Amino acid sequence: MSVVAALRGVQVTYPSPTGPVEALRGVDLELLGGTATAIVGRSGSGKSTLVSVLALMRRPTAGEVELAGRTTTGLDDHELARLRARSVGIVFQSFHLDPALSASDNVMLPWYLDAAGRRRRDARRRADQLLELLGIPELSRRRPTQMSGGQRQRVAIARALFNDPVLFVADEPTGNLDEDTANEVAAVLLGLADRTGTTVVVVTHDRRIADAADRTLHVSRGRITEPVA
Amino acid sequence: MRRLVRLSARSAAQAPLRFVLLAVLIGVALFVYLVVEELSRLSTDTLDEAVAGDLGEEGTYAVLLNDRLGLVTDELGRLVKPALAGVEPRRVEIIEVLPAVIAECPPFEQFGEQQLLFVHDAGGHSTPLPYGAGVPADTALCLAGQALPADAVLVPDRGQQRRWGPGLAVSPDYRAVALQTSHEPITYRISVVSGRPDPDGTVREELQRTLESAFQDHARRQGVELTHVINVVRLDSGEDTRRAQEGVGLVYGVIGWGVIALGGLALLVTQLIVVRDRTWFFGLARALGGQRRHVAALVVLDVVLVLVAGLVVLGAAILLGGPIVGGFVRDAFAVELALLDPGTLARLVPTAVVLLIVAAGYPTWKAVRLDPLEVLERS
Repeated sequence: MSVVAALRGVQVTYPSPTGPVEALRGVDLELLGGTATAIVGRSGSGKSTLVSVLALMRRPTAGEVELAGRTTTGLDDHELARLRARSVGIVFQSFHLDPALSASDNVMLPWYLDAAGRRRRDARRRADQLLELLGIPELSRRRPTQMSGGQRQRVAIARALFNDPVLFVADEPTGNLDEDTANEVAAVLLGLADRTGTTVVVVTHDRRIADAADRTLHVSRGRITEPVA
Repeated sequence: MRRLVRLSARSAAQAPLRFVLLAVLIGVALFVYLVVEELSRLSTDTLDEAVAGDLGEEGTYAVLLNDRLGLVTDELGRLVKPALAGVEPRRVEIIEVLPAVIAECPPFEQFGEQQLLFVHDAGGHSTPLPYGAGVPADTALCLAGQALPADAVLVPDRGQQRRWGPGLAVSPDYRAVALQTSHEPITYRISVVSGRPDPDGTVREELQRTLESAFQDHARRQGVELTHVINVVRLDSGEDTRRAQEGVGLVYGVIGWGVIALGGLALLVTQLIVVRDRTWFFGLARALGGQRRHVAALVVLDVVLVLVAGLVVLGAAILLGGPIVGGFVRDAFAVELALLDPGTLARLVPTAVVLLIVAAGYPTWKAVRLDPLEVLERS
């Protein structure tokens, strides 16, 4: 399996009223294609910062990020956004679905923001396929307000998969869900690597998700300190 | 862009009441603007006419010539035209004034004794005039025992009277007949319209100097003292009235643009609230790979959709409210509103652009500066 994403000596430092805060301190990481990785750690340990750098939403203060064989150092905002659109799928703890749009249109949101790309009919077909893949084909026309939390998160996952990303990142995706729904969503997420071949990275506090992942990383004080057994 | 328009339309549909109210607000603001603009135009035209009638066109001067100069029309034309070229007048007329006669056939009810006027341009050539205008239908004209057709005489309007002096303008075809009416000497008067304000009398002084210089050789030959050759008199002394007229126009402008500014302000405030409420969406759009320009386009399109809907409301307001407002204005001021005047409608385009800039500029700037990650973490 080839390396899909890599961090080399990545540091992230934030300014704060009490002085600079080092959120990541020289992180080295390689993620292989088609694997599922769980990232665990306490609040404030740097997990979310780590995935935001992996998802190209934050530039590191120092170090290098490589995604889909491309070094991102030196890319401007426009190029970075384009690479993110084509290569990364992101899911958040809050579902961030547009209440004005149907499930299908929410899944198609990346299409609305991409002047090139597929034709509308193909985009609609792709959205419906993804909703089917996630087990909610009957919700295609429904608005987010007419769905349960688990269903909304599935729609958000489908949206993240719309552009066939090589890297799928989820930041505490089950944090807003009840236990049963969280289990369902976790199963869907971890199964994505096998079903779609994409590389999955999940930030979680949920021990069961960590256990089910191919690989679990523990982040503490801005460093990947130990593999969790 | 079509995809973003579709997305914006769907977002607008999410809050139909807000959208409709804003569209009505903008439509009404534009309607009021159109009415005020039209009233302003009508009042300016009416005032222009009244001021021109009472005071003469702006920058109107009468050049009074010494009778002893003994110049005739052709000679005057040769002297006046080159002399005034430097002043760049809007209009120069040389008026040949024949002594007063009764130009009307019996029973002499309309005009009484009148001077006969022949109007020439700066070069001394006859000026074409709308002869026949102002002549009452029940009046026949006679000169030296000869009946004249009605279209041989022009009864000057107030502005013309001011420039030419009292009298009836007669077609040059009947000059020979008119000359038979009297053996008194012919006099001349020159009317100059600069079309420029002359608050400190500079233009009048320049005319006086230029014409004195042009006539000095001839005056010397005729033995006329140079200081008595000509006298340039200003006919449009009315700076205060003109300033007041400008003030009225300004008030209309302030009202019209004030209404537009209020509409724009309301739209601006609403857009700022929309941007605040949809911050998460803009952050998400950026996270999904959207560029800053996509975010900017979403905010601007939101305003454009409201403006387009506002124009539809305006159309309805013109169709439904236009006759009501027009009727009121007709009854109150005896003038006809033309809300669909092409000039007024053409002004809607820059007005809509101003509204767009006012309402979308700052919210767009705010939206594109959002850090998507920060926004998503916060929400």
